[in-house]
Amino acid sequence: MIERLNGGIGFGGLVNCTDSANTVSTFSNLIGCDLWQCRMESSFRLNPIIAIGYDVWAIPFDGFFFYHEVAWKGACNEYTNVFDGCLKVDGDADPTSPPHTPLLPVNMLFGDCTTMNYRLRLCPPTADGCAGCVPQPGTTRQRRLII
Amino acid sequence: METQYDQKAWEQETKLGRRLYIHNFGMTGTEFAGWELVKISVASHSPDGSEKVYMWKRKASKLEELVQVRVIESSYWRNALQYHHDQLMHSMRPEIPRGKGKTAAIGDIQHVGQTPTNETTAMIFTRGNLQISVSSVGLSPVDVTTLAKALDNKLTKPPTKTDEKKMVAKRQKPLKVKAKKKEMTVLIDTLPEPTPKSGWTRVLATDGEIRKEGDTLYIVDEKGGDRTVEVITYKLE
Repeated sequence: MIERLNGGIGFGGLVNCTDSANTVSTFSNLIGCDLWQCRMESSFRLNPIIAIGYDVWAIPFDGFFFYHEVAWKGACNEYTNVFDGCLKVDGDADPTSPPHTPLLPVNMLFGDCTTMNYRLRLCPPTADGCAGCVPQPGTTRQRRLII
Repeated sequence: METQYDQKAWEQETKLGRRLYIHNFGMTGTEFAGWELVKISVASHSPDGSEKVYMWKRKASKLEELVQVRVIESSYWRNALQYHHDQLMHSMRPEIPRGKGKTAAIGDIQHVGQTPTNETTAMIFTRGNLQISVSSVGLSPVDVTTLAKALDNKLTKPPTKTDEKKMVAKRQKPLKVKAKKKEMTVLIDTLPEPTPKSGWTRVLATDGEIRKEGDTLYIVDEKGGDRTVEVITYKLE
């Protein structure tokens, strides 16, 4: 990752959310922050997003994430805040439909499925959307190195 | 998290991989015609094995056409299936499909990532005790099917006459063992130390399962009996 940032080949130009979560949390913690990496699961429907490396609104992977991983504060649950370096969500009152206002999720409350926070910006308010996007601190909260 | 990936079914499907063992595999830069090996990294090493990452760049290409080959070498073909499962669990895309057509013939178990125009830009597969990923990771997408097939052939096909003549590959004296029924029988008491100087070794039995414990290679055979096992070594330097 560092080699790539310095103009080298690294491991190539593609990253996924786990790489982003590792990068955000590791570099932040180096300067005194206290972040974790944690996943939300599983197979949940998405709102339109702008994915890292792109500048267009789209819903990737036929509409669903199998999982997503972000840098997260504290207990990594719906009451704590996330830092998502992998995508931008729609920051207006209705993320499910255009027009969309790009918003990088920085220190954003993960939230539940009744109040507009990160969770409802990432997923529609449906059973296969927001309700399926569940924090997994029990099994996935960790601090992983970046390479 | 429940998944749609049926590891038990994969075990049933794995035939060649059970009786194939690769020790100290490495790429030397000659495996992919028209491509240059630009970087080798050891990404992690666990008691079960090692993970090596190879970065390849297409020769004489003005665009950034880069392919990443990641090889996890474990001690047992079942562990390779577990690593394969782990790779799928780290993909954000749900329901990654199995290979079809040309890609279905690669590996014991394989899954593919394709573009909307059906280019295979990523492929993960197991072969014996190895779990392998071949991915297009540059600015310009590359269909990796040919490269993955070339790599799989290297692991499974006999060496070419050219390779033998150039002493790149050498057929060792076949191992003859009396396999005990359903018990671990020693094939190789002490495998060579995994260094570039040792080269890499392919061990292929006609039946049974091969696995490593510590530095010893074993065969486990359902029926037992006399077994002849092929051993080929390949230079890494």
